[in-house]
Amino acid sequence: MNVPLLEVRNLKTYYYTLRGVVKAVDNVSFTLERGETLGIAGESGCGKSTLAWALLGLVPPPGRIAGGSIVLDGQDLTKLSEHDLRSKVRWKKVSMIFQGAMNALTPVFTIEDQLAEPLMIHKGMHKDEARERIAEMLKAVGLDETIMKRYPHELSGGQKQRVIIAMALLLNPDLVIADEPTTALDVIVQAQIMNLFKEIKRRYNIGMIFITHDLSLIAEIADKVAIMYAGKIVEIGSSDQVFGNPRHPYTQGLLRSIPRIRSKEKITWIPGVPPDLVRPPPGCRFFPRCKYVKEQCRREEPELKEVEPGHFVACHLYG
Amino acid sequence: MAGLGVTAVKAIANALIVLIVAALIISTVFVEQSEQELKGYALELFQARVRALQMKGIKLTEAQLQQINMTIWRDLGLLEPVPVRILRFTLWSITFNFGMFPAKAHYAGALGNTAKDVILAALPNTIMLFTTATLICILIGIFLGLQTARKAGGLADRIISTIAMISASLPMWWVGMLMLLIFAFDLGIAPFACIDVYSDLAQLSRHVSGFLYWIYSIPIWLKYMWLPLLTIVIVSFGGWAYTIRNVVISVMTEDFVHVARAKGLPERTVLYKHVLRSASPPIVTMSALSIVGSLGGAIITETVFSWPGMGRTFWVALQNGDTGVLIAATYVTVFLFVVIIVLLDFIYALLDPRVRTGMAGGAR
Amino acid sequence: MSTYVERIRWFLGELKRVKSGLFGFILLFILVGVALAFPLIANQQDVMYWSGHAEYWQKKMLPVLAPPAWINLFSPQKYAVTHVIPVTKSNYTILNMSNDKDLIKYLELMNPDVAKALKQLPASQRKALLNNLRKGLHFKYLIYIEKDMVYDFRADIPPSDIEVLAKIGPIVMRKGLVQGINILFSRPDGITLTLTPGASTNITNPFNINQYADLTSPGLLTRLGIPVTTNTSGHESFNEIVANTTWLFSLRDYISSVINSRNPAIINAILGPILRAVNATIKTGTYINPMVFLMSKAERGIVSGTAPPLKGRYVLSFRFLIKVPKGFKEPRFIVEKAKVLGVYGLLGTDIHGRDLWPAFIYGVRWALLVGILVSVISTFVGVMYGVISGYLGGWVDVVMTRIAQVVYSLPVLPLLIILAYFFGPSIWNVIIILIAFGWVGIVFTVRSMVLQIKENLYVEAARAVGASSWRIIFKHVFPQILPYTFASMALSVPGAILAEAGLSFLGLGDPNLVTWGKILHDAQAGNAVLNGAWWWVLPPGIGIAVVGMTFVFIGYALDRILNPRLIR
Repeated sequence: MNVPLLEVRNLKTYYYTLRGVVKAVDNVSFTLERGETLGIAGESGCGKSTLAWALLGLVPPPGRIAGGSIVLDGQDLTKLSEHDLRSKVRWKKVSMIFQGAMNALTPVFTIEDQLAEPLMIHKGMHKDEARERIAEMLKAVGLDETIMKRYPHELSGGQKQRVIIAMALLLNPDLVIADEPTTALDVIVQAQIMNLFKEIKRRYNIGMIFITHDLSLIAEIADKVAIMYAGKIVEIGSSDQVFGNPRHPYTQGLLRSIPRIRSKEKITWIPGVPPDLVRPPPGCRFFPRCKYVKEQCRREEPELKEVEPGHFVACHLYG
Repeated sequence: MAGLGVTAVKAIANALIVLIVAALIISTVFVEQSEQELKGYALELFQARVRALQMKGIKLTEAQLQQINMTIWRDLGLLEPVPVRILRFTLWSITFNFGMFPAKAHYAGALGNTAKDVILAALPNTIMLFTTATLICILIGIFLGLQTARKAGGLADRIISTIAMISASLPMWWVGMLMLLIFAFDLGIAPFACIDVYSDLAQLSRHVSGFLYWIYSIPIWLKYMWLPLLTIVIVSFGGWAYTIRNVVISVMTEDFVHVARAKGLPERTVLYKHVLRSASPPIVTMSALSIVGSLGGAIITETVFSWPGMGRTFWVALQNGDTGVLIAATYVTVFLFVVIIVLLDFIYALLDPRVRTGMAGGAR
Repeated sequence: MSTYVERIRWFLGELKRVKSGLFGFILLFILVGVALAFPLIANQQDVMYWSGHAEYWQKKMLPVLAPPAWINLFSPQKYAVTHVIPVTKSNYTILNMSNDKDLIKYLELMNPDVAKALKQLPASQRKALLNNLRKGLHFKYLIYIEKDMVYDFRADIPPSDIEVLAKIGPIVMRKGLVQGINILFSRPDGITLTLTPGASTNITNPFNINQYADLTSPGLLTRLGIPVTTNTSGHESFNEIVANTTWLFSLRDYISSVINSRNPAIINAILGPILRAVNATIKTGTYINPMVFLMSKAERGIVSGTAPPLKGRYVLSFRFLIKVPKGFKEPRFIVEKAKVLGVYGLLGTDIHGRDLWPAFIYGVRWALLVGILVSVISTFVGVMYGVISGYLGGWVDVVMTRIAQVVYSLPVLPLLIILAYFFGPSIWNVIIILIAFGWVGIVFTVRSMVLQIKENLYVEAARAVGASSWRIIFKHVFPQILPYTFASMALSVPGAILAEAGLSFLGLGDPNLVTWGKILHDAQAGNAVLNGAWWWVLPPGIGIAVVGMTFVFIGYALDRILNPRLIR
């Protein structure tokens, strides 16, 4: 029986601000097997990025993990000291891929310097040893090794994204979290990067969590899909299940709002705005925008119920 | 490093433009004044030369006397029309030909009586005082700035911010007067007038010379320098710490800092390598600005302490109507100033690869 | 209109959040109040006559370099406080020599035997003799004037001076006409000094000229400081103290000059009684604090100034015996003001004896005026420049930016000093020059803001609709830049104030105006630091700092409120 690579149970990550407690991630649970790709989708501000940072133990203050557990390879990361997290987990076991087109690379150091850092710190390599590995990695993501001596501002968006991906894979981590990796790229480059991801998934068989607001990307790459809304997972299941048979009204709404080239269906969108995470509505957080809302929805928070094997939905429509 | 080279050339070209413009302005302002000045000087030279010739027993005819006068006037540039004269002064300034200007008043420490001698004596003193003070401030500023940036909003942070705000409104020279009242008048542990350093040094030179003299002159300089140095640091460190703190805070919100942490780098590396290094370009700009500001305050501060530097020289020259020294001092100040700016621009390019011109850049 | 009210209300609400800003505005309110209330809380005249009106300050008779009066709250040893002392005794007696009775009275006082003999003569003989006598006298009237002033000294530290401002005259000084003066200083311990050598310390007969010193001796007149004019009438010229001559007598200055004369005879004549009581002598060249010497106990250490203070009742007495020749008017000696000078006022005095309090309060006006005027105008100019340069773009932008860069690179203060030196020190020149250098600072930031805004779509849209350039600028660009402008204005005030203070300190400010920089300039010139006159140095600097800080707080708050940024 395979122990899952990652098991997140009842994770709560709150921000303690002057305005109040922002419940960015409120009771989130899921599992991830080795080599599996989980796609997490949702609107901006639903807590996806906070979840990603929580997995690395790097929630920026005034936020912190307020409860729950993150078990990676049998070890509960929430119980580890900062020192252990830094030296044993970060980048070695879990690494992160950011939006490369933004400021993820320090502008004053060369690509080589920045890629060498984790190798030198975690593997104790020398600059020259590291250079070989870096060249290898850059080739693997489709970049020429002359990129090494360049500075970030000299690279295009697509090139930077590849560098970020290479950087994340340097130490052969078990789990890679990709947080909106293609958002700032144009469509063509986006397609290239998605192909790269698929290639990596095939070649390295690592566990991946792919976070985005763009459902079409998840459809391309994820084995499992989780839909997040207002800090909670409202639907989770295999990619086929969630896309083929969406149960939660929110998921359905999301899918209906994607324009399809050949379909003649009208695009609809979900009216309203996401709730304030300091004072979320009682009961189901989606009820103000849900067209199926019942009396129960206003009072009781729905729990995740299995509607098909492996397909869970948190909605009062399903028992 | 092609980008660096191009940047450097551009910066130097810029600097030259500023220098020429400044020299033009200064020369224009002074030509009127210096006319009287130089005519008087010409007369002195003329009389001196005539006397020397007469002592040798040479008799001079009217024509020959005229000739001598003409030569002197020509050498001093008095024969030329005003615009040409302006250009000549500009040229002299740019080529540092200050030996031509006489120094009227007595300037402590000057070894001769031309403007050049005066500047040569005063310039090192100013550099010694203000460079040391600036370096100390930078060090304190980086340390305090980083600490308070990490715990932004904390007690230390608010104290530093308040100190910075107060320091921004304090006239440095007034604080100097207060320091003198406390340490010189009340406590008697500091000298009232730093210019007395020369009399102490003269005394020393009567006993020792050569290498020993240089060694023993160090504590003497320190004795006179510590109070102005302390004053400058006290008034300036808050601003430095606050500016650095602001820059560091804004850098710390950048994505790459989170990335560095995610990479498992120790916090110290994140702070001193990634954050500080990325923060240093704007810090360099700030220091350029602060040096600009301090050059002015230097004049008054030096006057309050009677510190024998460029500032005080400027002031004494002004009071005595010593135009030659004034032009020289002003121009040298502008020159120094421009050199520093160019240097800082260059350092900026060194630290921040994004501003180097001639490099391929941007998204494709 | 209502949106403006809303905006203001929102702004005030936000202001409450940023405490320092609230503090700044309150401070500003107070400062403006002080500036406006100046005529009520300080003497306006003092400021008007600040420079070059020596007589005004002479008349005020304020102590020189005096600490503020409240220093006594903190000092274990109490200083004497400046105050007016009353004239307690005033005597004016005339003997008219034309009058027989008076003449006989005079003879009785001068030579009792002759007078007795004269009285016994028959009337006609007496008359003849008297007329004869009269012819021998060179004067018609004999006037005795006495004025006493009392000072009850109860402090621990003697006053720095006792001054008497009087009107004296006319007194004729001819050959053969001896005029008598006797200034007596009596101490509580019974020792009485005569400050006029040659006079006696105990006047038994006020009409006996021998008990007086000779007022006509030029040495004495100079030392006393009484102005004398030379008059020609007919063939003779004589000296005269004209009617209503102003005479300021300073006890300290007088005794100082006596000691500095190094003339043992005079020193002993005047200070003898005290010296003999302690059996001491004054070695030539030793420094003696006159007032401390006069008002300390006659014990060991009195010469070196270490003897304890002698508290009690002191009397300063002016006695005159004046002979008035025929044809001249009677003399008057009117004490306008007698004062004990010690610590004074709210902020003490400077080396010229000028009250520093009104100067300090007045400084608020100019600090605020210069600061606000310079910063508002230069910010406005800079913003306009940056907006135009950024919006127009192209070669206009390049040229304008280049010019701004050059101006920015010039070191301000040295050039400021030179320009002030050559264009003359007037406050308006200073303001203009400060603006001329101040506008550059904001240009670059504004320009880059404009460049950013330019890229925004709605500007394109507005242009597409056909709005003119100016309309676009005003409607779209300015509102975005305005918040930054206000914050910048506030933050540039301290710089302007410091620059003006610096210029004034160097003596390049307006010589007719009293600004804080000027006060500090005077302090530097008057060696305030060397003399430890902290009350001269501290307040103006604190004033500059407080006004500067007010605007820093305000600017900081404006920045926080109007420029939302991601500062955690």
